[in-house]
Amino acid sequence: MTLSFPQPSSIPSEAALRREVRAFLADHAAAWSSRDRARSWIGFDRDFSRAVGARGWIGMTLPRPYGHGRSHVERYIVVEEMLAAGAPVGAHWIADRQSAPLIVKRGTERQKQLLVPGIVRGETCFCIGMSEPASGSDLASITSRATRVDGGWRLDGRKVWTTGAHHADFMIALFRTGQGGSADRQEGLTQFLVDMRSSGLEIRGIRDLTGERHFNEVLFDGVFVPEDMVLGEPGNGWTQVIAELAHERSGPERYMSAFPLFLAALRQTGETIDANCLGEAIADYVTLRLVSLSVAGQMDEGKDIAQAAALAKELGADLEQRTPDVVRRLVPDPDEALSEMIDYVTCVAPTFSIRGGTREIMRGLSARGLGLR
Amino acid sequence: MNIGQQVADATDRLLAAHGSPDALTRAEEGLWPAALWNQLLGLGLGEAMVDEERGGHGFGWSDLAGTFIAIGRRACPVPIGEHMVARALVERSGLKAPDGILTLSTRIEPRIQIDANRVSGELPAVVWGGESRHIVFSCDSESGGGRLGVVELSAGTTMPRPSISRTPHADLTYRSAEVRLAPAERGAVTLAGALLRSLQITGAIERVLADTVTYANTRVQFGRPIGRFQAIQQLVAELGNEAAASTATAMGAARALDRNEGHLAVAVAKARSSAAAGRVAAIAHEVHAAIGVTLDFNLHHMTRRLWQWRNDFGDEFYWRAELARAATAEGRDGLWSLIIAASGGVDANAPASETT
Repeated sequence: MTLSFPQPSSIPSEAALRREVRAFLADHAAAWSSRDRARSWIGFDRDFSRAVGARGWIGMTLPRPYGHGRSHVERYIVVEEMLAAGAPVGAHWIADRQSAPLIVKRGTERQKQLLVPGIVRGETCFCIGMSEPASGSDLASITSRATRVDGGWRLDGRKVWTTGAHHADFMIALFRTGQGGSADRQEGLTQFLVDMRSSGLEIRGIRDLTGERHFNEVLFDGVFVPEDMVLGEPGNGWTQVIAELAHERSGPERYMSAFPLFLAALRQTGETIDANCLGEAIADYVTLRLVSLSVAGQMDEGKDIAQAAALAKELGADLEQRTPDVVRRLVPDPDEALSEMIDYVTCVAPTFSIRGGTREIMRGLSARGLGLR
Repeated sequence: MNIGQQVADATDRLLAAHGSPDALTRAEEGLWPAALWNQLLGLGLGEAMVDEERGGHGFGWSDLAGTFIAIGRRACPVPIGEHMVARALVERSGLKAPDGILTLSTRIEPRIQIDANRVSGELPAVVWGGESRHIVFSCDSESGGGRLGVVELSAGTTMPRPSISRTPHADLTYRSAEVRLAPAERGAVTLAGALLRSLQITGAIERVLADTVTYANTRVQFGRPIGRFQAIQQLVAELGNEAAASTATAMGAARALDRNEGHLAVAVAKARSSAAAGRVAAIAHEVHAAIGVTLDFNLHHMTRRLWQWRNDFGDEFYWRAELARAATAEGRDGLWSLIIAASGGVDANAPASETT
């Protein structure tokens, strides 16, 4: 009943891999301001993503010939080094983390040939079409509809909170193809590969409280998707989405969003330091690394990580959200750049426990997994 | 199933048979569970951590983690964990372990002075002094290195002291008593004791989680099991999170100490599991409400141990301060390396021989 979070064996080349990634990042880091680093994995830079792809660090875990056939633990090492540096991985992040694995697992050979090479090169950008205005935590209640037409489907409805839709080349979107109604809530859902240049598709930006635009609303007015762009089985969308969400919840970005801020803060602590505050934060970061790395190891063993990922995400979000307060405690007099970082992370911190499923939903999942009926 | 798992299962079965609430209460009242002690030795636990060349089984912390977790889970009423750890430390230092039960002082800074082969001062909060024959402790040498000391209980004055777990604790005072000494790693007893307690806490949390889930599924109020209410589900999920944190860090520290790289990992484990212990006790008592604080109900046997063990061998405040000290010593840019090292990773500058 209790999850155990065993550690994976070390990879033989871990030190060398870290050196490689750090050397690569050092070549690019001069261009990143402290605010860029604060944005962490939301930062969007197509040139950087292409450079990462050229090094073979996107699609690492996809089996050959689609990707590089490396382990989740190897990918984890690369990704955590990028996150520690606050690198702008946003342009390839979603595609690498969840879209490509989903396409490789459920897609047709033609879909894999069409989409995966571009993802692996760091050129093709994906967004996630799940939430709707009336369907957030209750994803199964979505009403956007896909209707069969000649040669494919017609999509009508709207998606919201779609990060990066304005940059994306493709969306993997969940639409209702069944009858709807309570008997059919989770049945009758289908995933589609939507070309973001399709006619009938309108993207409206949503500015967040920092004034930046990452979120979007995406309106579908008779968007045509050809039959060969249905992803997986019609009606199997719910099962696919659940697996996709496990990927979305599983990685080190779920506890490292505020880590560049923490690192920056340590360069400005005063003579005396609140040792309890610092030590607690360090213990928590190490705890999360152990838990998060274990999830990667379990993925290499083919285990179902849905429960472990939900727990890791919830525990991680709590740490990320506390980090600005840790920094405020440790650095009574931050300079302007650090001040700006603290303010930025403070503003976006509420999203840490919301995106990918709220803390309360994760806890409900955990409780069920622990045996509460 | 590997040998470590077999030992853990055998220990768990034995302790379950001897660990009824009545048995625990009788142990608190002073009854020494002699039969249990002999059966635990019969499993070979006493010499489990001693090197094979010195007559032991050569098991490490990772091998025995499940056993120490079982000791916690079953609220074991004898000092088998302390005895195993103390014997291993004594043998590793080159001294021959004396006969009889070995125990430890659970405070981290015993107030003692060594003069040649004589010890004076106080070894506080020694566990199970009544039945133990020798205390094993760490101290520093004049040159600043570490030493291990072994002293007889009967050579000191015993002053029993109360403990929250109501397991036997005593302060031992020595006046120029004979002590055997050998060079050893600095703070070896504190480090080993902290890891032992982290694993015990992990086991106790596991047990409390299971019992809390059972209670939430069976206690009916407002016409349904209270586990149907979201407020209860959220609390139980948080308890599960604390269980995960304790398990992950304690197991990570076991691996690290086996590689002789334990200091940071043990600091993290004890800091995190101590914090978890308090939160778990609070949540369990909240879910159980009034029945949970009664003497007749079983929960207090576990929560009083959680409250005890979080303080033994350094509480969360002590170990957080150690981590902060390590971080500031590493320098302003060393934190990421520290986190990698403390979680068993291999950093970029590790020499090639360390990467397998």
